[in-house]
Amino acid sequence: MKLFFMVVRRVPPVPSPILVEAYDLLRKRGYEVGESIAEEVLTGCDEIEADQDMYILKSHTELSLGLAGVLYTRGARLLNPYPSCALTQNKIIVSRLLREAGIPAPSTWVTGDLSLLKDLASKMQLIIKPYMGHRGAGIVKVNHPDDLAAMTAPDYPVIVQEFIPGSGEDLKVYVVGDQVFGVQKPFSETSFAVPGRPVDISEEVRDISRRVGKACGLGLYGLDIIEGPSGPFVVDVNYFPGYKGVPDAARMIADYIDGYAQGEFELKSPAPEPARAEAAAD
Amino acid sequence: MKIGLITTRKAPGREGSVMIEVADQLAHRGHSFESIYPEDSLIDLARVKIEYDLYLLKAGTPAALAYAGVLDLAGARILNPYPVVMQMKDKVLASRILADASVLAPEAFIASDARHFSPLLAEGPLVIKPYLGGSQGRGVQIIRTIVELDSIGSEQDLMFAQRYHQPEGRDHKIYRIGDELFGVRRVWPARTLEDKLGEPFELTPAMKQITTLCGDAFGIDLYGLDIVVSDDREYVVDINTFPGFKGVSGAGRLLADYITRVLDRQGS
Repeated sequence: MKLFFMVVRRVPPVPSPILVEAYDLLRKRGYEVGESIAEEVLTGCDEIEADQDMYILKSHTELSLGLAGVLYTRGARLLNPYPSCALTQNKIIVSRLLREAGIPAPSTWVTGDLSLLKDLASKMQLIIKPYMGHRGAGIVKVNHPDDLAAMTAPDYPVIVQEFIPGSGEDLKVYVVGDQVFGVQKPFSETSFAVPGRPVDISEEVRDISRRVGKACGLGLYGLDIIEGPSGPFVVDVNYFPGYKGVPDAARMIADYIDGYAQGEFELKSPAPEPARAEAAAD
Repeated sequence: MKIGLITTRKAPGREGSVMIEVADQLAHRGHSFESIYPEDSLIDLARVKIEYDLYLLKAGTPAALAYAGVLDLAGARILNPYPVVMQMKDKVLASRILADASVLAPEAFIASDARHFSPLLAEGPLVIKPYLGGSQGRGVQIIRTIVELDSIGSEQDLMFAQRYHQPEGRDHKIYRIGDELFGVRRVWPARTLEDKLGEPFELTPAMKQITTLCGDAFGIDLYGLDIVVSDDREYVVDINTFPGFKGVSGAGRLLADYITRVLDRQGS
């Protein structure tokens, strides 16, 4: 069986040790494992063929998602499922999915015009982030309405969340199937590159984390949680995170991919299927 | 019934005349028609609820699409359907869907950096377009040399290129509203209002067939196509959901009829 990992160019360009180990484990079980970095090649749209048995989407770039979308419409199997990945990249949609699933998340707004936030900013501290993206890039904290004036007007809509005061540290939760792990690290824009300290997580966080996977249709995913005064809040969700600091991560990921490839379990995407779309032609 | 038009705020006097007529026509039939501007709204995601019987997704801006995405999850009726609009916005996916439907389109490529396209220039010029969004020719460039390519570099995360086919004469726009097809010839780039209105032309049987194929591929019958005629072949270079229908005579009334039919269908 052929597995193909769609990965991202790393800086510096050394392969992720967890992935290298997972590839090795999968090969020992008889899988052929390939990978590519979409950013390093020129792709002819007509050349994209779903000739692998399963694609594993590790990269979060627009290009990789675009290719994954084509593979999906051509009938390829993807892990995580393509519609789940596409939805998870859009923080507006994620916020709505979490809300519908009754998962605690901060109050969230969307706007393209920062000046509309003055009233909100005078009532509460805000976190502003791009509506598409991951890894904490472009996150700004607004402590005072005057901070808004200093910000440059966004080209794209932004997500605005109520700032939840926590311990100053992010709880990163990594999930493989129904196995849930927590690591703690100080918050920063570059914290994704820093391995955290493994921490015990509460039954409540464990339960929330599993419900996030169900709500978003993900099996390999991570979430950022802030433990506020009134309990844990989910502030971000990502598909296939780095699993840095998670003991034995490579083996668990390999086991999960193996099980999914063999059809032992399925993931259900919340995405409205295009086929569901009402055909106007009739 | 209540109809919400998801659009962008236009400078006074720049509103699309077709949509103004649609609003008038629908009002005459007893429907209310309001514009929604996601761009300059503050949307509380906890409070998004379906307030209209039908949403018309006219704008293709990130804010409009994001708003429509939330409405779609909530179960709103959107024209065209949100998942189809997203497929059409994704040029890679759209070009592949059209190719699979045997629609003739220029060869298409994607890369993260325009410089990756340089080997392709040996076989002729390319048209470079923004990957997502972009309409009315914004950001479209014809590239003939590596120097021109270098000047683009990697302005965006993602670059989309099509093989350039030298058009014979003006650009051909085809619009479809239900079963009605319209052809408009237009100079590119359009500078004056007269340019934009273009000139109606009679569709050839081949063009009619191409148009139907494109709609069937996406399962919709409200859209516009850009066609380039080159070496006697008709290439579909772009497909647009909810275009402006400029130059289509009676477009306002036809659109209002179409929307009324959609409303009637939903009510039944």
